[in-house]
Amino acid sequence: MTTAPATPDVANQVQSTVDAIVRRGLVGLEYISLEDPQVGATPKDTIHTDGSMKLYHYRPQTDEIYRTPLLVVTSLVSKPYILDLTPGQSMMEFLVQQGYDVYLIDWGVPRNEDSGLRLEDYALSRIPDCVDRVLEDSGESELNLLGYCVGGALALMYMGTHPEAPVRSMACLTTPVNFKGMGLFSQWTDERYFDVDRIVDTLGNVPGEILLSAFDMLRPAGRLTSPIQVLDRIRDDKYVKSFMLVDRWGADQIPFAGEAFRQMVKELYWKNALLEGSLELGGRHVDLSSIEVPMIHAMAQHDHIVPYEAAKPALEQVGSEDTEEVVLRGGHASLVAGGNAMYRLWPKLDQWLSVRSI
Amino acid sequence: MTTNETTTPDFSEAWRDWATQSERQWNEFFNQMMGTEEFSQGLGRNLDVFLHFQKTMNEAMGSFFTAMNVPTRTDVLALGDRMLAIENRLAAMEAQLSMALAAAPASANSAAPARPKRTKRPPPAAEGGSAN
Repeated sequence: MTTAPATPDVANQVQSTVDAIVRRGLVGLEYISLEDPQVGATPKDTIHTDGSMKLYHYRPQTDEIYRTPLLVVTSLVSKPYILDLTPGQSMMEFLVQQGYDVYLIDWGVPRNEDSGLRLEDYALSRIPDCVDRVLEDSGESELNLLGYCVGGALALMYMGTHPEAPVRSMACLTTPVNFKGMGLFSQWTDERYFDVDRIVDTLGNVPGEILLSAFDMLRPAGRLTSPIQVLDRIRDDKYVKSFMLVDRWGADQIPFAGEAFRQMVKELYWKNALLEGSLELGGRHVDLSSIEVPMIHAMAQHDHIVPYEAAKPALEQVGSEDTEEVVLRGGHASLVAGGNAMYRLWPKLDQWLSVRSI
Repeated sequence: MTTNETTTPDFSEAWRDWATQSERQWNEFFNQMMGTEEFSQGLGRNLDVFLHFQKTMNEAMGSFFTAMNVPTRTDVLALGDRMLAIENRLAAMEAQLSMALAAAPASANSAAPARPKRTKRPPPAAEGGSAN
């Protein structure tokens, strides 16, 4: 058998890859040198602040909007711009352009004076306050809730303590409920070895650098192989831009309010109190079975931060009869941002929410 | 047998497979190692050492700044607290102003942009689904 020499093709392939790398390198350098890449750019107004927290209202971009406003509760662990990454790849932009009246709670970057914030300050004070503001601003009597990651858990805590909440339906995105299913995080916070009191008493807020190291340790080879993946798709402008933005978001870690962290470790990791139904916040029992509104929970197949085992029980715990579980390809961030999200999650969310927003 | 087909080795495909498999294997290896009780114990010990160092440093720096008659971190944070109190009062005043403006007669408020009507309906395909 004779095979024709492939040298010219290989040479061309190598040449075009090198060209793309050089071109990308120049664009990449330009991008990296930008101090403030365009993230969180969907036009919005701040309608309420409380300490470092801000409540945004996204400006409608359609002639008609759905009647029921949508309140998005973001995570405490990371900055919320993963939901509004960049024009053309933004979940917030998508929702606004589909005709939703969107509000978003940005918890802000905890300052030293925020180290005393507890879970009840978020779930029993700030969320209800924001709900009231949204209803007042929109002139409506009920809203839909959407929570991402820990934001979803806070939304569940709010709903579990407010059976009369003016909430019509609820969407959770990769929301942890079973903290024994949090993989290595559960191991590392082992009650016998993890002195959470000493951490909080010494540091106040838990520094972002510690959290970032913990996230990086979940995928130790990730830092090495991620650039290889980019190299592999170097010709795909959209992918490279999206990758760089998500990567920047991942590294843009914020501190965690000290008291809330202490509570999270003791109540959620050690006692698994949200799943066990024993969580008390501010003297109120968090009863997930009292949540009876329609609920959808979208999870990512390869989520290494909130694994499927940690997120799955959310729908089993609530009292609602109208529930839907969606498991999509991708990871923790790509579930909500990037190509995966654009073609899978967002259309699904739109389909589910639209009929519950009229 | 002779063939005229040109076989180009797909380096990028091999490269992709190698990278994916290597990442998975290395992650699995490290995750197994980090999932042991010994690792959690070691992590806890390291954290203790770090916190002890941090506490000692904080105390030493605090004494140093006090001796130098320079504001300590605690002093700066106390200023931050006072700034926050001012910010909160400003936010409360802003909210009251917004409420007062909203309650004002429409003519005084005519500069505010009109909001779209809340009459949007889902596409017929979506409306066919169930909803409460």
